[in-house]
Amino acid sequence: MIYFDNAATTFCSPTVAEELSCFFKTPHGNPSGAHHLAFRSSVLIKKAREFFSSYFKVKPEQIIFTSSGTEANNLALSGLLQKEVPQKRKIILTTPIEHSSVLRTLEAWGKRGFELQFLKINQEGFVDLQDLVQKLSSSVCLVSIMAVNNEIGTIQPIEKIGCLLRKSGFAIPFHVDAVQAFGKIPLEFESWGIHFLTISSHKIHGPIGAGALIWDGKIALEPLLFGGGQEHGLRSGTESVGMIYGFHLAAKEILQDQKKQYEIVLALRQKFIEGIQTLPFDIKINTPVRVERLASSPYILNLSFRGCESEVLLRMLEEEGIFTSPGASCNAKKRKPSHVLKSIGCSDADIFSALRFSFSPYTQEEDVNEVLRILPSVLKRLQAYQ
Amino acid sequence: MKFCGYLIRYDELALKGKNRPFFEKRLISNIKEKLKEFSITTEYLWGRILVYCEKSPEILDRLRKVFGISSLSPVVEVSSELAVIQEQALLLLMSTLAKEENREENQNLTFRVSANRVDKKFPLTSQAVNIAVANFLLPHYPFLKVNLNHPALELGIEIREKRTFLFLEKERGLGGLPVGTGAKVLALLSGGIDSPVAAWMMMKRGCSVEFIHFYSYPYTAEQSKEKVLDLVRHLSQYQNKSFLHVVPFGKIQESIQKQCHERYRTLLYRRLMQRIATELAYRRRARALVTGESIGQVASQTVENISAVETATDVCIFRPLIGFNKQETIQIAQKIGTYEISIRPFEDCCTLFQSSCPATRARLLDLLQEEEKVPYKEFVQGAVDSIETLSI
Repeated sequence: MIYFDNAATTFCSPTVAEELSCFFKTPHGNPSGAHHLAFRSSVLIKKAREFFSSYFKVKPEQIIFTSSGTEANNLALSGLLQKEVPQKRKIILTTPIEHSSVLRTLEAWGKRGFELQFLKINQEGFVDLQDLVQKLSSSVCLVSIMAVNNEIGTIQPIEKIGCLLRKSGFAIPFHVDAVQAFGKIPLEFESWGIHFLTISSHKIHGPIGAGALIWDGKIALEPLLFGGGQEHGLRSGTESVGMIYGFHLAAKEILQDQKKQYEIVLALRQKFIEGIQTLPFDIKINTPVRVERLASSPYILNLSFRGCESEVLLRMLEEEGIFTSPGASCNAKKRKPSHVLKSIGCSDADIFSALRFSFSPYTQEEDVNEVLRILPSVLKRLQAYQ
Repeated sequence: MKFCGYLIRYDELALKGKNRPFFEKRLISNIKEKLKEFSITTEYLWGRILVYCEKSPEILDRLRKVFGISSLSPVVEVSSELAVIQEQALLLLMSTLAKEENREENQNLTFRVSANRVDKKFPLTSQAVNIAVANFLLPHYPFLKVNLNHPALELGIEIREKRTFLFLEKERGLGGLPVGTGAKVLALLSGGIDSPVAAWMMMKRGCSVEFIHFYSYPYTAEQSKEKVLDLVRHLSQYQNKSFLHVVPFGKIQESIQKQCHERYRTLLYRRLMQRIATELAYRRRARALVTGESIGQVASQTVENISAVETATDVCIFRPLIGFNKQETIQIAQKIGTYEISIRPFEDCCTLFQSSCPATRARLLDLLQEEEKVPYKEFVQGAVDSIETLSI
């Protein structure tokens, strides 16, 4: 099996899986409890919290564990906007290529008195910084921009954006969805002027079921869940000890080799691109892969196989044991084009023929070779019927 | 007064002359099969079946899906003495009717008693029982108004030897014939709205139905198979056990697409489907094929096209929806619960293979010539050999 769908989810790292299997076989208590087993659970969470806080150079209480990246995004955005008074500051700035957990949440607030404004993005998916500066004003209550786009991999200049926000002097809270960035590319928190940052476990070979919101600790936040007052009262509910423990282990593992892996994956993606370019098919690269290294995350490569129906291509590759993602969720009745590809100006034909190949530190050179070997026959088979 | 079970009536079966025991036995065994997880006993009464059980919405729901039942009533069993009948009838009435006259729902409440004397030795005639029971009940509920034609509340009394059944509710069943009294048929199930309804209508006439689905992976998603599986699971509630035969069809479509004229593509797929279904029908001893076709609904379902396609098989084809409007089919699909599954977005046949200018009045000769361009006999053999059969 060749897995190129790591931006959707990654396989749990074998060492993490091993540790978790031991964890689940041993009795463990509710971390809020009073006995020894409870204490052991609370220590695991404390250690995880300390790990993330030291990585992001923040205090442990600035880490809020959630069940997912989606929940962390919701907590940051809704938690903040519930405290805002739209009459005073009503403009929310974001991009049209955010993850749906950001877009749908902000759209909901847009119907409740806030004004959602989208920043211009160019054909590579980069935010137009001039447009951002022009739109900054004392009426802006929130800016939310993702660090790495999940479909095309574009890396936003988060540090620059944070700097521009700071310079503006309007004290605008800045939220960054860094789910596809954490563990893959360099990321800072306070020094980049970020107030809320979202990360997720299952995108870095941790278990599905844990995420975190890193919070500046100052901006008032209203919880979405009330109850036992866990996570400093910001996210009630018994902590998912095992998932948080697994998240911690996976983060430790991926961050250890982040730089080295970045180079390896970058070289693999480059090999993939070069291989694709030699094929006698019309293939468009939707990911910005310019020479500057930081244009896009090397972990993501979005391609349009012109003249091919992406979902069918996906299944033909699946038959060969290769797993990818389509650029659009499509079925015969309703085809829903990717909002990201649409926003960067792709034609419908390019959107409905797009596939995303997403890499991981576990991706091998042989995997790339195998895809390059199989692709021509599959494309030939498919193009014969268009 | 104690609820004792459901009294089941089956009018159409009673017309079957000497075959009657065959139909009745099958109906009883179907009921037992449907209720096998519950502790029940059944008793055959002349013209009725009594299911002794707890009062349970789930049992009722399952009985509602048994073909052959014309109506059913939750009943109370009492001894066949007028005084007992009167007393118990009052208790039954009290259990459903509040006593206060001023209650809104009781204003102008119409009522009748309908006795049926199966045991002719009972001293009173049915009419006399009606009067005696009504006269006993009405002083307790003075606000009830007798209306013999359209009563809102009807007390049923079925007097048999030694015992009598009382009931206030009578619900219509699905009717039809018990599944299994007819032959086995093979329904071509696409995943759309029509074919599940067609299969259901065959079950209604007593046929047990097996299903065949043509699966065009990789051109259609795996979810399309799951959808068909869900349809079969749902339809299985109306018969005892179902089999779904999944035929890999993508490669065959691919080949037809490549070799044959675009105009005839869909018709050639359908001929191939019928050939494969025919072969399977022989193997499974199914006596007929069932399709959801309706004249003129799509280009391939004109009279000319249906005729040209069906020469591919020598097995009888039933098309229970042939004269239905789409809306009529949808109504049944909604009633039987397949509609919600059928409208899930995964289609059976990928748009990739649809012709933009399909033949609406294909000539058989042209179709046969086109069909010769592909090794269809090999296709049929290969497809039948690689069928995946799922038991539901």
